[in-house]
Amino acid sequence: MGLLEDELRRTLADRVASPPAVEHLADRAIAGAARLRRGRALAASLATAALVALAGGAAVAIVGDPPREHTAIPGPSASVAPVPPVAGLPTDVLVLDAAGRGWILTRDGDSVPLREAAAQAWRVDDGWLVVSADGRRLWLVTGSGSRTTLVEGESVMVSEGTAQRPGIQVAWAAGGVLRLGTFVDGRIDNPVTATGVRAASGVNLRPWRVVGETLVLAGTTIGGGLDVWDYWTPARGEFVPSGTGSANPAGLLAVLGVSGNRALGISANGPGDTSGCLGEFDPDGLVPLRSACTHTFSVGVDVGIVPSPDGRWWAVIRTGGVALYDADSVWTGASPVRTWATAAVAVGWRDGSTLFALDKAGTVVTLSAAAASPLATLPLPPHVWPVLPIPDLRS
Amino acid sequence: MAESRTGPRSLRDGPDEFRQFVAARSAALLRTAYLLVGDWSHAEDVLQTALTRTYVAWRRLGEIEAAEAYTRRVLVTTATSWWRRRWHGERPSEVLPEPAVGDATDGWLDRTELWRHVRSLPARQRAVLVLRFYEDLTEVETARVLGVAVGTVKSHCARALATLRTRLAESGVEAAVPSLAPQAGPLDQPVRGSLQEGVRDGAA
Repeated sequence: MGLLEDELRRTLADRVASPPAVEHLADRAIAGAARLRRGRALAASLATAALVALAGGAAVAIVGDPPREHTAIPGPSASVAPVPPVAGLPTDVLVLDAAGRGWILTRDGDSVPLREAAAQAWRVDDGWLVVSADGRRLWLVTGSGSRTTLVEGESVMVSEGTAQRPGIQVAWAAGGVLRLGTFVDGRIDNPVTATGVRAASGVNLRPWRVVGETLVLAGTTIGGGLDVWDYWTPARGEFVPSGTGSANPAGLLAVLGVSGNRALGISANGPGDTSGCLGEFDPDGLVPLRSACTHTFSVGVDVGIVPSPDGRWWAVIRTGGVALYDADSVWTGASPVRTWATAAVAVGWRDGSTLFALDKAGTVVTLSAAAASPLATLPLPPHVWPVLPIPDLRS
Repeated sequence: MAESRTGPRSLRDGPDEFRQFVAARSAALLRTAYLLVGDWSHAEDVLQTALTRTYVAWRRLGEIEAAEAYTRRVLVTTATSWWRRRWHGERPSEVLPEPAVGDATDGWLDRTELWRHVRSLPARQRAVLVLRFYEDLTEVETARVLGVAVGTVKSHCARALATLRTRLAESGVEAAVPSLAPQAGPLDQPVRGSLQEGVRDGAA
Protein backbone atom coordinates (compact mmCIF):
# COMPACT_ATOMS: atom_id res chain seq x y z
CA MET A 1 0.00 0.00 0.00
CA GLY A 2 1.42 3.35 -1.03
CA LEU A 3 2.11 6.42 1.04
CA LEU A 4 -0.65 8.33 -0.66
CA GLU A 5 -3.18 5.63 0.09
CA ASP A 6 -2.10 5.60 3.74
CA GLU A 7 -2.32 9.35 4.00
CA LEU A 8 -5.67 9.29 2.28
CA ARG A 9 -7.01 6.89 4.87
CA ARG A 10 -5.68 9.01 7.72
CA THR A 11 -7.00 12.17 6.14
CA LEU A 12 -10.49 10.78 5.72
CA ALA A 13 -10.52 9.48 9.27
CA ASP A 14 -9.31 12.83 10.60
CA ARG A 15 -12.06 14.70 8.79
CA VAL A 16 -14.78 12.78 10.56
CA ALA A 17 -13.19 12.44 13.96
CA SER A 18 -15.73 14.78 15.57
CA PRO A 19 -19.10 14.55 13.89
CA PRO A 20 -21.93 16.72 15.14
CA ALA A 21 -24.81 15.18 17.03
CA VAL A 22 -27.97 14.79 15.00
CA GLU A 23 -31.29 14.19 16.68
CA HIS A 24 -34.57 12.67 15.66
CA LEU A 25 -33.23 10.98 12.54
CA ALA A 26 -35.37 7.91 13.09
CA ASP A 27 -38.57 9.80 13.90
CA ARG A 28 -38.16 12.04 10.89
CA ALA A 29 -37.48 9.03 8.71
CA ILE A 30 -40.59 7.25 9.96
CA ALA A 31 -42.75 10.32 9.38
CA GLY A 32 -41.18 10.85 6.01
CA ALA A 33 -41.77 7.26 5.01
CA ALA A 34 -45.42 7.58 5.93
CA ARG A 35 -45.67 10.63 3.77
CA LEU A 36 -43.92 8.78 0.98
CA ARG A 37 -46.39 5.96 1.11
CA ARG A 38 -49.32 8.36 1.10
CA GLY A 39 -47.82 10.33 -1.74
CA ARG A 40 -47.00 7.22 -3.78
CA ALA A 41 -43.25 7.09 -3.23
CA LEU A 42 -43.01 10.85 -3.39
CA ALA A 43 -39.40 11.37 -2.47
CA ALA A 44 -38.07 8.69 -4.77
CA SER A 45 -40.25 9.80 -7.65
CA LEU A 46 -39.36 13.44 -7.21
CA ALA A 47 -35.79 12.60 -8.10
CA THR A 48 -37.28 11.06 -11.20
CA ALA A 49 -39.55 14.04 -11.55
CA ALA A 50 -36.57 16.32 -11.64
CA LEU A 51 -35.20 14.24 -14.47
CA VAL A 52 -38.52 14.21 -16.28
CA ALA A 53 -39.15 17.85 -15.65
CA LEU A 54 -36.02 18.79 -17.50
CA ALA A 55 -37.35 16.93 -20.50
CA GLY A 56 -39.16 19.76 -22.15
CA GLY A 57 -41.31 22.79 -21.77
CA ALA A 58 -41.25 26.18 -23.27
CA ALA A 59 -38.93 28.69 -21.72
CA VAL A 60 -38.70 26.92 -18.38
CA ALA A 61 -35.82 24.96 -16.93
CA ILE A 62 -35.62 23.43 -13.50
CA VAL A 63 -32.94 21.95 -11.39
CA GLY A 64 -32.71 19.66 -8.47
CA ASP A 65 -35.15 18.24 -6.01
CA PRO A 66 -37.85 20.41 -4.51
CA PRO A 67 -36.67 22.95 -1.98
CA ARG A 68 -35.97 21.34 1.32
CA GLU A 69 -36.63 24.51 3.23
CA HIS A 70 -40.23 24.16 2.23
CA THR A 71 -40.47 20.45 2.83
CA ALA A 72 -40.51 20.24 6.59
CA ILE A 73 -42.16 16.97 7.42
CA PRO A 74 -45.64 17.74 8.67
CA GLY A 75 -46.92 16.36 11.92
CA PRO A 76 -50.16 14.53 12.43
CA SER A 77 -52.09 17.76 12.30
CA ALA A 78 -50.82 18.66 8.83
CA SER A 79 -53.49 20.15 6.68
CA VAL A 80 -55.01 17.99 3.99
CA ALA A 81 -57.50 20.65 3.10
CA PRO A 82 -57.66 21.96 -0.43
CA VAL A 83 -54.80 24.18 -1.45
CA PRO A 84 -56.19 27.69 -1.87
CA PRO A 85 -55.59 29.67 -5.05
CA VAL A 86 -52.99 32.41 -4.97
CA ALA A 87 -53.71 35.83 -6.42
CA GLY A 88 -51.13 37.56 -8.53
CA LEU A 89 -49.03 34.63 -9.69
CA PRO A 90 -47.03 35.51 -12.81
CA THR A 91 -47.45 31.98 -14.07
CA ASP A 92 -49.24 28.73 -13.33
CA VAL A 93 -47.37 26.74 -10.71
CA LEU A 94 -47.38 23.02 -9.91
CA VAL A 95 -47.35 22.28 -6.18
CA LEU A 96 -47.86 19.39 -3.79
CA ASP A 97 -49.86 19.45 -0.59
CA ALA A 98 -49.03 17.87 2.75
CA ALA A 99 -50.72 14.65 1.71
CA GLY A 100 -48.55 14.40 -1.36
CA ARG A 101 -51.30 15.30 -3.82
CA GLY A 102 -50.66 17.56 -6.75
CA TRP A 103 -52.31 20.91 -7.38
CA ILE A 104 -52.11 23.46 -10.12
CA LEU A 105 -52.27 27.07 -8.95
CA THR A 106 -53.09 29.26 -11.93
CA ARG A 107 -52.25 32.85 -12.57
CA ASP A 108 -55.93 33.35 -13.22
CA GLY A 109 -56.52 32.67 -9.52
CA ASP A 110 -57.70 29.06 -9.71
CA SER A 111 -56.68 25.97 -7.79
CA VAL A 112 -56.99 22.67 -9.70
CA PRO A 113 -56.62 19.38 -7.80
CA LEU A 114 -54.69 16.52 -9.40
CA ARG A 115 -55.40 13.83 -6.78
CA GLU A 116 -51.89 12.39 -7.20
CA ALA A 117 -48.41 13.77 -7.00
CA ALA A 118 -47.12 15.17 -10.28
CA ALA A 119 -43.69 15.90 -11.67
CA GLN A 120 -44.35 18.55 -14.29
CA ALA A 121 -47.16 20.21 -16.17
CA TRP A 122 -47.72 22.29 -19.30
CA ARG A 123 -50.64 24.60 -20.05
CA VAL A 124 -52.37 23.61 -23.28
CA ASP A 125 -55.58 24.63 -25.00
CA ASP A 126 -57.62 21.81 -23.45
CA GLY A 127 -56.27 22.18 -19.93
CA TRP A 128 -52.90 20.89 -18.77
CA LEU A 129 -50.63 18.09 -19.77
CA VAL A 130 -49.34 16.59 -16.51
CA VAL A 131 -46.65 13.98 -15.91
CA SER A 132 -47.16 11.71 -12.91
CA ALA A 133 -44.66 11.86 -10.08
CA ASP A 134 -43.12 8.56 -11.10
CA GLY A 135 -42.54 9.95 -14.56
CA ARG A 136 -44.44 7.15 -16.23
CA ARG A 137 -47.80 8.57 -17.21
CA LEU A 138 -48.97 11.61 -19.11
CA TRP A 139 -52.41 12.93 -18.25
CA LEU A 140 -54.64 15.52 -19.82
CA VAL A 141 -56.26 17.40 -16.96
CA THR A 142 -59.16 19.81 -17.42
CA GLY A 143 -60.03 22.83 -15.32
CA SER A 144 -62.39 20.72 -13.23
CA GLY A 145 -59.62 18.29 -12.42
CA SER A 146 -60.89 15.42 -14.58
CA ARG A 147 -58.02 13.35 -15.87
CA THR A 148 -57.35 11.23 -18.95
CA THR A 149 -54.23 9.10 -19.36
CA LEU A 150 -52.71 9.75 -22.78
CA VAL A 151 -49.54 7.64 -22.72
CA GLU A 152 -47.72 5.41 -20.29
CA GLY A 153 -44.14 4.13 -20.22
CA GLU A 154 -40.89 4.18 -18.27
CA SER A 155 -40.50 7.86 -19.01
CA VAL A 156 -42.55 10.48 -20.82
CA MET A 157 -41.72 13.88 -22.24
CA VAL A 158 -43.56 16.91 -23.47
CA SER A 159 -41.74 19.44 -25.62
CA GLU A 160 -42.71 22.57 -27.43
CA GLY A 161 -43.03 22.10 -31.17
CA THR A 162 -40.45 23.34 -33.63
CA ALA A 163 -40.50 24.56 -37.19
CA GLN A 164 -39.53 21.07 -38.33
CA ARG A 165 -41.91 19.29 -35.96
CA PRO A 166 -44.84 21.64 -35.34
CA GLY A 167 -47.31 21.13 -32.54
CA ILE A 168 -46.76 19.95 -29.00
CA GLN A 169 -44.44 16.97 -29.09
CA VAL A 170 -44.93 14.00 -26.79
CA ALA A 171 -42.44 11.18 -26.42
CA TRP A 172 -42.48 8.10 -24.27
CA ALA A 173 -40.05 5.23 -23.81
CA ALA A 174 -40.25 1.71 -22.43
CA GLY A 175 -37.89 -1.22 -22.74
CA GLY A 176 -35.69 0.54 -25.26
CA VAL A 177 -38.63 1.37 -27.52
CA LEU A 178 -39.15 5.08 -28.07
CA ARG A 179 -42.21 6.76 -29.56
CA LEU A 180 -42.63 10.38 -30.60
CA GLY A 181 -45.95 11.91 -31.59
CA THR A 182 -47.87 15.17 -31.71
CA PHE A 183 -50.55 16.18 -29.21
CA VAL A 184 -53.62 17.20 -31.19
CA ASP A 185 -57.25 17.52 -30.05
CA GLY A 186 -56.73 15.63 -26.85
CA ARG A 187 -54.81 12.70 -28.29
CA ILE A 188 -51.34 11.75 -29.59
CA ASP A 189 -51.18 11.68 -33.37
CA ASN A 190 -48.78 10.16 -35.90
CA PRO A 191 -46.35 8.48 -33.54
CA VAL A 192 -43.03 7.34 -34.96
CA THR A 193 -41.07 4.58 -33.31
CA ALA A 194 -37.43 3.72 -32.67
CA THR A 195 -36.15 0.55 -31.08
CA GLY A 196 -32.98 -0.32 -29.23
CA VAL A 197 -32.75 3.16 -27.73
CA ARG A 198 -29.81 2.74 -25.42
CA ALA A 199 -26.49 4.52 -25.24
CA ALA A 200 -23.38 2.81 -26.57
CA SER A 201 -22.48 2.17 -22.93
CA GLY A 202 -25.79 0.36 -22.44
CA VAL A 203 -27.38 3.09 -20.36
CA ASN A 204 -31.11 3.52 -20.93
CA LEU A 205 -31.96 6.77 -22.66
CA ARG A 206 -35.01 8.91 -21.99
CA PRO A 207 -36.52 11.56 -24.26
CA TRP A 208 -35.29 14.99 -23.18
CA ARG A 209 -36.52 17.54 -25.68
CA VAL A 210 -37.26 18.08 -29.37
CA VAL A 211 -34.78 20.47 -30.95
CA GLY A 212 -35.29 21.18 -34.62
CA GLU A 213 -36.14 17.84 -36.16
CA THR A 214 -34.20 15.87 -33.57
CA LEU A 215 -35.21 14.32 -30.28
CA VAL A 216 -32.40 14.82 -27.80
CA LEU A 217 -32.06 11.91 -25.40
CA ALA A 218 -30.57 11.79 -21.92
CA GLY A 219 -29.57 9.11 -19.49
CA THR A 220 -27.79 8.56 -16.22
CA THR A 221 -24.91 6.44 -15.08
CA ILE A 222 -24.30 6.50 -11.35
CA GLY A 223 -26.43 8.49 -9.04
CA GLY A 224 -29.34 9.65 -11.14
CA GLY A 225 -27.96 12.76 -12.78
CA LEU A 226 -28.17 13.47 -16.48
CA ASP A 227 -24.71 12.72 -17.72
CA VAL A 228 -25.30 10.70 -20.88
CA TRP A 229 -26.54 12.42 -24.02
CA ASP A 230 -27.57 11.11 -27.41
CA TYR A 231 -30.09 11.89 -30.12
CA TRP A 232 -32.57 10.45 -32.61
CA THR A 233 -33.57 12.16 -35.81
CA PRO A 234 -36.65 10.30 -37.07
CA ALA A 235 -36.21 11.57 -40.62
CA ARG A 236 -32.94 9.63 -40.81
CA GLY A 237 -34.49 6.37 -39.78
CA GLU A 238 -33.76 4.13 -36.85
CA PHE A 239 -31.89 5.14 -33.75
CA VAL A 240 -28.15 4.41 -33.80
CA PRO A 241 -26.20 5.05 -30.60
CA SER A 242 -23.46 7.60 -30.97
CA GLY A 243 -20.28 7.65 -28.95
CA THR A 244 -17.90 4.74 -28.57
CA GLY A 245 -18.87 3.36 -25.22
CA SER A 246 -17.87 6.49 -23.43
CA ALA A 247 -20.68 8.67 -22.22
CA ASN A 248 -21.32 11.23 -24.92
CA PRO A 249 -20.62 12.25 -28.44
CA ALA A 250 -17.18 13.74 -28.60
CA GLY A 251 -17.02 17.32 -27.39
CA LEU A 252 -20.25 17.34 -25.39
CA LEU A 253 -20.28 17.44 -21.61
CA ALA A 254 -23.86 18.45 -20.89
CA VAL A 255 -26.86 20.00 -22.56
CA LEU A 256 -28.30 22.94 -20.65
CA GLY A 257 -30.92 24.46 -22.91
CA VAL A 258 -32.24 25.16 -26.36
CA SER A 259 -32.11 28.22 -28.54
CA GLY A 260 -34.06 28.00 -31.77
CA ASN A 261 -32.99 24.78 -33.43
CA ARG A 262 -29.72 24.56 -31.55
CA ALA A 263 -28.82 22.91 -28.27
CA LEU A 264 -26.82 24.90 -25.76
CA GLY A 265 -24.48 23.33 -23.31
CA ILE A 266 -20.96 22.68 -22.19
CA SER A 267 -18.19 21.64 -24.54
CA ALA A 268 -15.86 19.13 -22.97
CA ASN A 269 -12.13 19.33 -23.49
CA GLY A 270 -11.32 15.84 -22.38
CA PRO A 271 -12.54 12.80 -20.50
CA GLY A 272 -13.35 13.38 -16.88
CA ASP A 273 -14.00 17.07 -17.43
CA THR A 274 -16.62 18.67 -15.25
CA SER A 275 -16.17 22.11 -16.76
CA GLY A 276 -15.81 23.41 -20.24
CA CYS A 277 -16.63 26.17 -22.65
CA LEU A 278 -20.09 27.41 -23.43
CA GLY A 279 -21.05 25.56 -26.58
CA GLU A 280 -23.71 25.50 -29.24
CA PHE A 281 -24.54 22.17 -30.84
CA ASP A 282 -26.39 20.92 -33.84
CA PRO A 283 -28.87 18.53 -32.24
CA ASP A 284 -28.64 16.24 -35.24
CA GLY A 285 -25.41 14.62 -34.22
CA LEU A 286 -24.84 16.79 -31.14
CA VAL A 287 -22.02 18.29 -33.15
CA PRO A 288 -20.28 21.36 -31.73
CA LEU A 289 -20.90 24.39 -33.93
CA ARG A 290 -19.26 27.13 -31.92
CA SER A 291 -18.00 27.77 -28.46
CA ALA A 292 -17.05 30.66 -26.26
CA CYS A 293 -14.27 29.74 -23.93
CA THR A 294 -14.27 33.06 -22.16
CA HIS A 295 -17.26 31.54 -20.39
CA THR A 296 -16.45 28.52 -18.29
CA PHE A 297 -19.53 26.51 -17.53
CA SER A 298 -19.46 23.72 -14.97
CA VAL A 299 -21.64 20.73 -14.32
CA GLY A 300 -23.32 21.21 -11.01
CA VAL A 301 -22.76 24.96 -11.07
CA ASP A 302 -24.42 26.09 -14.28
CA VAL A 303 -27.55 24.06 -14.49
CA GLY A 304 -29.83 25.58 -17.12
CA ILE A 305 -29.98 28.08 -19.95
CA VAL A 306 -33.44 29.48 -20.72
CA PRO A 307 -33.67 31.85 -23.68
CA SER A 308 -36.39 34.48 -23.75
CA PRO A 309 -39.25 33.88 -26.20
CA ASP A 310 -37.69 36.16 -28.80
CA GLY A 311 -34.22 34.78 -28.19
CA ARG A 312 -32.88 38.16 -27.13
CA TRP A 313 -31.82 37.12 -23.65
CA TRP A 314 -30.55 34.04 -21.93
CA ALA A 315 -31.39 33.38 -18.30
CA VAL A 316 -28.70 31.13 -16.87
CA ILE A 317 -29.49 29.29 -13.65
CA ARG A 318 -26.37 28.73 -11.65
CA THR A 319 -25.23 28.25 -8.11
CA GLY A 320 -26.01 31.37 -6.16
CA GLY A 321 -28.45 32.95 -8.53
CA VAL A 322 -29.61 33.75 -12.00
CA ALA A 323 -27.54 35.54 -14.63
CA LEU A 324 -28.88 37.32 -17.68
CA TYR A 325 -26.82 37.27 -20.87
CA ASP A 326 -27.29 39.14 -24.11
CA ALA A 327 -27.68 36.33 -26.64
CA ASP A 328 -25.84 38.25 -29.32
CA SER A 329 -22.78 39.26 -27.36
CA VAL A 330 -22.43 36.11 -25.28
CA TRP A 331 -20.44 34.48 -28.07
CA THR A 332 -17.91 37.27 -28.03
CA GLY A 333 -17.37 36.82 -24.32
CA ALA A 334 -19.56 39.57 -22.92
CA SER A 335 -20.30 39.33 -19.22
CA PRO A 336 -23.84 38.94 -17.88
CA VAL A 337 -26.00 42.01 -18.19
CA ARG A 338 -27.72 41.22 -14.90
CA THR A 339 -27.12 38.91 -12.00
CA TRP A 340 -29.69 38.22 -9.32
CA ALA A 341 -28.94 36.45 -6.08
CA THR A 342 -32.06 34.34 -6.33
CA ALA A 343 -31.43 30.68 -5.51
CA ALA A 344 -33.70 29.49 -8.26
CA VAL A 345 -35.19 26.06 -8.61
CA ALA A 346 -36.61 27.02 -11.96
CA VAL A 347 -36.98 30.06 -14.19
CA GLY A 348 -39.35 30.96 -16.98
CA TRP A 349 -40.21 33.93 -19.16
CA ARG A 350 -43.42 35.89 -18.95
CA ASP A 351 -42.57 37.96 -22.01
CA GLY A 352 -39.52 39.18 -23.87
CA SER A 353 -38.03 40.99 -20.91
CA THR A 354 -39.80 39.73 -17.78
CA LEU A 355 -38.95 36.44 -16.18
CA PHE A 356 -39.84 34.67 -12.99
CA ALA A 357 -37.90 32.38 -10.74
CA LEU A 358 -39.15 29.85 -8.23
CA ASP A 359 -36.76 29.83 -5.34
CA LYS A 360 -35.94 27.25 -2.70
CA ALA A 361 -38.29 28.78 -0.17
CA GLY A 362 -41.27 28.45 -2.48
CA THR A 363 -41.37 32.10 -3.43
CA VAL A 364 -42.15 33.19 -6.94
CA VAL A 365 -39.79 36.04 -7.79
CA THR A 366 -40.45 38.33 -10.75
CA LEU A 367 -37.34 39.69 -12.46
CA SER A 368 -36.80 42.05 -15.35
CA ALA A 369 -34.00 42.61 -17.78
CA ALA A 370 -34.43 46.31 -17.03
CA ALA A 371 -34.05 46.07 -13.26
CA ALA A 372 -31.21 45.07 -11.01
CA SER A 373 -33.55 44.05 -8.19
CA PRO A 374 -36.59 41.77 -8.23
CA LEU A 375 -39.81 43.48 -9.22
CA ALA A 376 -41.99 41.39 -6.95
CA THR A 377 -42.00 38.38 -4.69
CA LEU A 378 -44.98 36.17 -3.92
CA PRO A 379 -44.85 33.28 -1.45
CA LEU A 380 -46.83 30.12 -1.95
CA PRO A 381 -49.22 28.92 0.77
CA PRO A 382 -47.76 27.15 3.80
CA HIS A 383 -47.71 23.34 3.88
CA VAL A 384 -47.35 23.39 0.13
CA TRP A 385 -44.36 22.03 -1.66
CA PRO A 386 -43.51 23.96 -4.82
CA VAL A 387 -42.55 21.81 -7.77
CA LEU A 388 -42.34 23.86 -10.95
CA PRO A 389 -43.64 26.81 -12.87
CA ILE A 390 -45.88 25.58 -15.69
CA PRO A 391 -44.95 26.58 -19.24
CA ASP A 392 -47.73 27.89 -21.42
CA LEU A 393 -47.95 26.00 -24.72
CA ARG A 394 -51.34 27.30 -25.75
CA SER A 395 -51.73 28.30 -29.34
CA MET B 1 -36.48 -7.14 21.35
CA ALA B 2 -36.45 -10.83 20.51
CA GLU B 3 -33.77 -11.98 18.14
CA SER B 4 -33.83 -14.97 15.90
CA ARG B 5 -31.98 -17.85 17.46
CA THR B 6 -29.84 -18.49 14.47
CA GLY B 7 -28.39 -16.20 11.84
CA PRO B 8 -28.94 -12.46 11.48
CA ARG B 9 -31.56 -10.51 13.33
CA SER B 10 -34.77 -10.22 11.43
CA LEU B 11 -36.85 -7.11 11.10
CA ARG B 12 -40.19 -7.71 12.68
CA ASP B 13 -41.12 -4.85 14.97
CA GLY B 14 -40.79 -2.01 12.49
CA PRO B 15 -40.52 1.36 14.24
CA ASP B 16 -38.71 0.28 17.37
CA GLU B 17 -36.21 -1.89 15.60
CA PHE B 18 -35.65 0.82 13.04
CA ARG B 19 -34.96 3.31 15.83
CA GLN B 20 -32.43 0.93 17.29
CA PHE B 21 -30.81 0.52 13.90
CA VAL B 22 -30.58 4.28 13.47
CA ALA B 23 -29.20 4.76 16.96
CA ALA B 24 -26.52 2.16 16.32
CA ARG B 25 -25.46 3.08 12.80
CA SER B 26 -26.35 6.67 12.08
CA ALA B 27 -23.12 8.14 13.41
CA ALA B 28 -21.04 5.93 11.14
CA LEU B 29 -23.29 6.60 8.19
CA LEU B 30 -23.19 10.33 8.86
CA ARG B 31 -19.42 10.22 8.70
CA THR B 32 -19.55 8.49 5.36
CA ALA B 33 -22.09 10.98 4.11
CA TYR B 34 -19.85 13.85 5.15
CA LEU B 35 -16.89 12.43 3.27
CA LEU B 36 -19.07 12.11 0.21
CA VAL B 37 -20.52 15.62 0.22
CA GLY B 38 -17.98 17.60 2.26
CA ASP B 39 -20.41 19.43 4.49
CA TRP B 40 -22.09 18.33 7.70
CA SER B 41 -25.38 20.00 6.92
CA HIS B 42 -25.60 18.37 3.52
CA ALA B 43 -24.45 15.10 5.04
CA GLU B 44 -27.36 15.17 7.45
CA ASP B 45 -29.69 15.91 4.57
CA VAL B 46 -28.35 12.98 2.57
CA LEU B 47 -28.48 10.66 5.54
CA GLN B 48 -32.05 11.66 6.35
CA THR B 49 -33.07 10.87 2.79
CA ALA B 50 -31.33 7.51 2.94
CA LEU B 51 -32.92 6.56 6.25
CA THR B 52 -36.36 7.60 5.05
CA ARG B 53 -36.05 5.37 2.03
CA THR B 54 -34.71 2.58 4.17
CA TYR B 55 -37.72 2.72 6.40
CA VAL B 56 -40.03 2.60 3.40
CA ALA B 57 -38.32 -0.64 2.43
CA TRP B 58 -37.87 -1.84 6.01
CA ARG B 59 -40.12 -4.85 6.03
CA ARG B 60 -38.86 -6.33 2.83
CA LEU B 61 -35.21 -5.92 3.82
CA GLY B 62 -35.53 -8.87 6.12
CA GLU B 63 -32.34 -8.45 8.11
CA ILE B 64 -30.44 -5.72 9.88
CA GLU B 65 -27.34 -6.45 7.83
CA ALA B 66 -29.34 -6.07 4.65
CA ALA B 67 -30.79 -2.83 5.98
CA GLU B 68 -27.38 -1.32 6.57
CA ALA B 69 -26.15 -2.33 3.15
CA TYR B 70 -29.30 -0.90 1.65
CA THR B 71 -28.93 2.34 3.57
CA ARG B 72 -25.33 2.70 2.53
CA ARG B 73 -26.22 2.14 -1.09
CA VAL B 74 -29.00 4.74 -0.98
CA LEU B 75 -26.66 7.08 0.88
CA VAL B 76 -23.96 6.88 -1.75
CA THR B 77 -26.41 7.11 -4.62
CA THR B 78 -28.08 10.14 -3.13
CA ALA B 79 -24.80 11.83 -2.28
CA THR B 80 -23.40 11.38 -5.75
CA SER B 81 -26.62 12.25 -7.43
CA TRP B 82 -26.03 14.84 -10.03
CA TRP B 83 -29.24 16.54 -9.06
CA ARG B 84 -28.20 16.80 -5.45
CA ARG B 85 -24.89 18.24 -6.49
CA ARG B 86 -26.68 20.77 -8.59
CA TRP B 87 -29.09 21.60 -5.84
CA HIS B 88 -26.48 22.21 -3.24
CA GLY B 89 -24.23 23.88 -5.73
CA GLU B 90 -21.39 21.55 -5.04
CA ARG B 91 -18.63 21.88 -7.55
CA PRO B 92 -15.09 20.70 -7.93
CA SER B 93 -13.34 23.64 -6.47
CA GLU B 94 -10.05 24.74 -5.12
CA VAL B 95 -11.82 26.82 -2.50
CA LEU B 96 -13.31 25.19 0.56
CA PRO B 97 -16.23 26.94 2.19
CA GLU B 98 -15.26 25.63 5.61
CA PRO B 99 -12.17 26.15 7.70
CA ALA B 100 -9.47 23.53 8.00
CA VAL B 101 -9.96 21.04 10.76
CA GLY B 102 -7.42 19.67 13.11
CA ASP B 103 -3.68 19.48 13.00
CA ALA B 104 -3.00 18.11 9.59
CA THR B 105 0.70 18.60 9.39
CA ASP B 106 2.09 15.49 11.05
CA GLY B 107 3.64 13.23 8.50
CA TRP B 108 4.86 14.28 5.13
CA LEU B 109 1.64 15.73 3.87
CA ASP B 110 -0.68 18.53 4.85
CA ARG B 111 -3.92 16.62 5.14
CA THR B 112 -5.97 19.73 4.77
CA GLU B 113 -4.48 20.11 1.35
CA LEU B 114 -5.10 16.46 0.53
CA TRP B 115 -8.70 16.81 1.65
CA ARG B 116 -9.05 19.89 -0.52
CA HIS B 117 -7.90 17.89 -3.50
CA VAL B 118 -10.18 15.00 -2.61
CA ARG B 119 -13.13 17.37 -2.50
CA SER B 120 -12.24 18.68 -5.91
CA LEU B 121 -12.57 15.25 -7.46
CA PRO B 122 -15.68 14.34 -9.40
CA ALA B 123 -18.31 12.95 -7.05
CA ARG B 124 -18.11 9.40 -8.29
CA GLN B 125 -14.35 9.21 -8.00
CA ARG B 126 -14.59 10.64 -4.51
CA ALA B 127 -17.24 8.06 -3.63
CA VAL B 128 -14.94 5.24 -4.72
CA LEU B 129 -12.13 6.61 -2.56
CA VAL B 130 -14.41 6.94 0.45
CA LEU B 131 -15.74 3.43 0.07
CA ARG B 132 -12.32 1.93 -0.55
CA PHE B 133 -10.17 3.91 1.87
CA TYR B 134 -12.58 4.91 4.59
CA GLU B 135 -15.22 2.18 4.54
CA ASP B 136 -12.53 -0.38 3.65
CA LEU B 137 -14.72 -2.10 1.13
CA THR B 138 -13.23 -4.38 -1.48
CA GLU B 139 -13.54 -3.53 -5.11
CA VAL B 140 -16.34 -6.05 -5.45
CA GLU B 141 -18.19 -4.63 -2.46
CA THR B 142 -17.68 -1.11 -3.75
CA ALA B 143 -19.01 -2.08 -7.15
CA ARG B 144 -22.08 -3.57 -5.51
CA VAL B 145 -22.77 -0.40 -3.52
CA LEU B 146 -22.38 1.79 -6.57
CA GLY B 147 -24.18 -0.56 -8.89
CA VAL B 148 -21.35 -0.62 -11.40
CA ALA B 149 -18.83 -3.08 -12.75
CA VAL B 150 -15.67 -3.85 -10.83
CA GLY B 151 -13.68 -2.50 -13.74
CA THR B 152 -15.42 0.82 -13.34
CA VAL B 153 -14.43 0.92 -9.69
CA LYS B 154 -10.84 0.19 -10.62
CA SER B 155 -10.72 2.90 -13.24
CA HIS B 156 -12.38 5.49 -10.99
CA CYS B 157 -9.95 4.67 -8.22
CA ALA B 158 -6.92 4.77 -10.47
CA ARG B 159 -7.96 8.06 -12.03
CA ALA B 160 -8.71 9.59 -8.66
CA LEU B 161 -5.36 8.61 -7.20
CA ALA B 162 -3.57 9.77 -10.30
CA THR B 163 -5.30 13.12 -10.08
CA LEU B 164 -4.39 13.47 -6.44
CA ARG B 165 -0.77 12.67 -7.20
CA THR B 166 -0.70 15.22 -9.98
CA ARG B 167 -2.25 17.95 -7.88
CA LEU B 168 -0.01 17.23 -4.95
CA ALA B 169 2.97 17.31 -7.24
CA GLU B 170 1.85 20.65 -8.59
CA SER B 171 1.69 21.81 -5.01
CA GLY B 172 5.31 20.85 -4.57
CA VAL B 173 4.75 17.79 -2.42
CA GLU B 174 6.42 15.39 -4.81
CA ALA B 175 9.74 17.10 -4.37
CA ALA B 176 9.62 16.34 -0.68
CA VAL B 177 8.38 12.79 -1.02
CA PRO B 178 9.93 10.99 -3.97
CA SER B 179 8.06 7.80 -3.11
CA LEU B 180 4.73 9.46 -3.83
CA ALA B 181 4.81 7.74 -7.21
CA PRO B 182 2.27 4.93 -7.72
CA GLN B 183 3.19 1.86 -5.79
CA ALA B 184 3.45 -1.50 -7.45
CA GLY B 185 0.86 -3.93 -6.31
CA PRO B 186 -2.65 -4.94 -7.08
CA LEU B 187 -5.52 -2.64 -6.37
CA ASP B 188 -7.79 -5.61 -6.08
CA GLN B 189 -6.71 -6.40 -2.58
CA PRO B 190 -9.06 -5.43 0.21
CA VAL B 191 -7.90 -2.15 1.64
CA ARG B 192 -8.34 -3.19 5.20
CA GLY B 193 -6.47 -1.86 8.13
CA SER B 194 -6.87 -0.74 11.65
CA LEU B 195 -6.59 3.01 11.37
CA GLN B 196 -10.26 3.83 11.21
CA GLU B 197 -11.84 1.09 13.22
CA GLY B 198 -11.87 3.01 16.44
CA VAL B 199 -13.62 5.88 14.71
CA ARG B 200 -15.90 4.01 12.34
CA ASP B 201 -17.36 1.49 14.66
CA GLY B 202 -18.27 3.93 17.35
CA ALA B 203 -21.97 4.15 17.94
CA ALA B 204 -23.75 7.44 18.20
